[in-house]
Amino acid sequence: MVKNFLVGLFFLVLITPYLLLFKDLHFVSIDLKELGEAFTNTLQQSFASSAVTILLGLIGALGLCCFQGSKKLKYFELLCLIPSFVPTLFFVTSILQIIKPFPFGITGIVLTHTLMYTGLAALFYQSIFQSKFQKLSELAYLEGASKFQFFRAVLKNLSFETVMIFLFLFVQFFTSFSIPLLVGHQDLTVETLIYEKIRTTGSLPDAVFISFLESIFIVIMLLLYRAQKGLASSKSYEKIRLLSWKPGLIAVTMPVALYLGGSLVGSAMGIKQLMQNENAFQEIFPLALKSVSLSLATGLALLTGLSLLTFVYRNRLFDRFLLSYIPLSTVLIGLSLLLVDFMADDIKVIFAMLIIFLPVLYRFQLKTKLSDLEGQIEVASLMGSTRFLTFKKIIFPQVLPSILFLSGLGAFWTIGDFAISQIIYGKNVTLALHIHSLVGSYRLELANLFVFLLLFLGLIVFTLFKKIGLRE
Amino acid sequence: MSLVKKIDIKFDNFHLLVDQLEIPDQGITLIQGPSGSGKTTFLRMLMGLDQSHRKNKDFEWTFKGEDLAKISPQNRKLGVVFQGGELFPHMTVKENILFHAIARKIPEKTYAKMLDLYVKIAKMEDKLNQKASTLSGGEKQRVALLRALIGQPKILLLDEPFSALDPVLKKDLKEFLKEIVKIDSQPCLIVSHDEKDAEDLADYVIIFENGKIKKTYSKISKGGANV
Repeated sequence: MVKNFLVGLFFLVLITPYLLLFKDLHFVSIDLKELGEAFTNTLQQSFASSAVTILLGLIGALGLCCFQGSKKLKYFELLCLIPSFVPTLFFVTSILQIIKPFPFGITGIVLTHTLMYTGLAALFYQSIFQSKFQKLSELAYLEGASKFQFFRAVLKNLSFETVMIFLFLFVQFFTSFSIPLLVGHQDLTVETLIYEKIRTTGSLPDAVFISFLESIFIVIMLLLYRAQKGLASSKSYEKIRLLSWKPGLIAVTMPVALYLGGSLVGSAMGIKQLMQNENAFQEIFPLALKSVSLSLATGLALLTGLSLLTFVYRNRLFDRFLLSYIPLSTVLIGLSLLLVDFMADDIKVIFAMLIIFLPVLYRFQLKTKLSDLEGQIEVASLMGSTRFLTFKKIIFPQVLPSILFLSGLGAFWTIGDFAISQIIYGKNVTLALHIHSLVGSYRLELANLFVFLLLFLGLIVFTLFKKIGLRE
Repeated sequence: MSLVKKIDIKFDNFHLLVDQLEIPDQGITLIQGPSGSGKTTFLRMLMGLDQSHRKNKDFEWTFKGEDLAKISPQNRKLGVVFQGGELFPHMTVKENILFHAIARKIPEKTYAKMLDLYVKIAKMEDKLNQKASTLSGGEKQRVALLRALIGQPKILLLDEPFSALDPVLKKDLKEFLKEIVKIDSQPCLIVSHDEKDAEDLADYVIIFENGKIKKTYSKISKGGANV
């Protein structure tokens, strides 16, 4: 009874944005020229970003292969994940500091997307190399094949995986909102057009109708996409000699170098500017407080949500729904919640974060942890244990550290969010939003310094959750 | 004797068909057969864990006058031990064992006495407060067995309980199993692929092949009946 109620509740929460948007859907006459332009821009940037990311990712994977079987690989894998892991705002403010003049517009969007996702693409390819070509590589090596000959053969056998990675990236880039908002300038994409409709012209029916068109397009793309299996473990494999090419490492290390370099340079200059403005800290104090409280509240909401998900675990239908659930893009979720009158803005932001992160975090780690407990759950059930007893004594104590880690991660991402908050609040009430407006007014140095502060606060919140999880 | 009737499961290229089978309701019965012969599927069917269970509506398992197939797996009152023991690693040995008693709502006085007796036989008095994750393979299986027994099950079902153990631990656990089953007069059904287990343990043997029962025999009158 309780379980069915919770399943129903989760289902309702996750489909709320869809329901809200469809409820308000009316066919309106829209400016086709403007819409066509936005779609063209979006298609162009998504296509170019995906193509370049794939090319650089492939090169990066060749670099990673040099460290196959070595402990160093772990560090390189971490480096690869940093750009796509940190909140967009952190990354963009840093590269704006280093790449000067920055090519704003479509080129800037493509460049940012590429720098952020090359590492991830490299990890995808490296994982495929391991699982598909490890043995073949050894055989070819013994038979005297050259690296070039083998690489050509590999490329021919990578077409399906490449199409899948392309589709994955394409959807990510197509629905990207924060990057076009930060570096797109006059080149409107579909997401920024919807945002413009909401915030600048205030025409919600237009925004909802464009959202509807975009949703159809995304669903079609996602139907074509078949999820890749998880990244293979690198521990048990030897170096893939014929696919190792050290210069390839530049492709995956350069984005991190730009990010870190930009952060340091910007912050150093930011300190100087801060010295000249004594009131700056007083100004940002309430904003930082708001950011931290929002982040903590989201972390707690995720903690509750993930714990309840653990309680309803083993409902096959709901599990399938969660694994295949596709959240609407950031701007669409924001827009859908904007249509709700009775909710406070803070609650809306937390609710939006819950919708975005809950399925992601479940798939990221919790599902695997719960699957590992299957045998114990089965035994407990055969011993006559009730669902509640199994949850209380067996499942929850074992997954709690993981739930806290994931909630901390969600809280960390929330502190760096400016996209959802921008739509919901419409004014600078968090530190991330303040940084966004600093970027908009080209005060990059100060933005960079505040990003460091935000990163520090985010890490404190994350550590807080993680530490509780580590306690016995 | 308990009577199992009408198991008919098909998946992929496998077909498990047991029209009727008598299983002694005392002593140790061993189910043997090569890999893929259907012995584990048969056991999981008895436990109620096999997914085909719901489709297999004619399945019956009459045990001491009660059709266990019509009862939910939780309420069949079975004691189970799997290959890996499936202990709860975050709990101590004592907490692991008592979990079954608590789940079955056995009065504390009763289970406290049983616990004392069992841990003595298992020679695990000094391990009661140790975390289950720190035990050796043989110790884990002992605890799993004690945990299964303390719930006062109608029958013990063991799925390949010795296969992960080395020969010395295997011998020890077999001796322990024989002793404890004898003390409690506990009927026990074991799935094993090792033919030596039949010699060492079984009072009664059922042999599976290609999803069907090939042969059953009592150890007392070896040679038995081909089915």
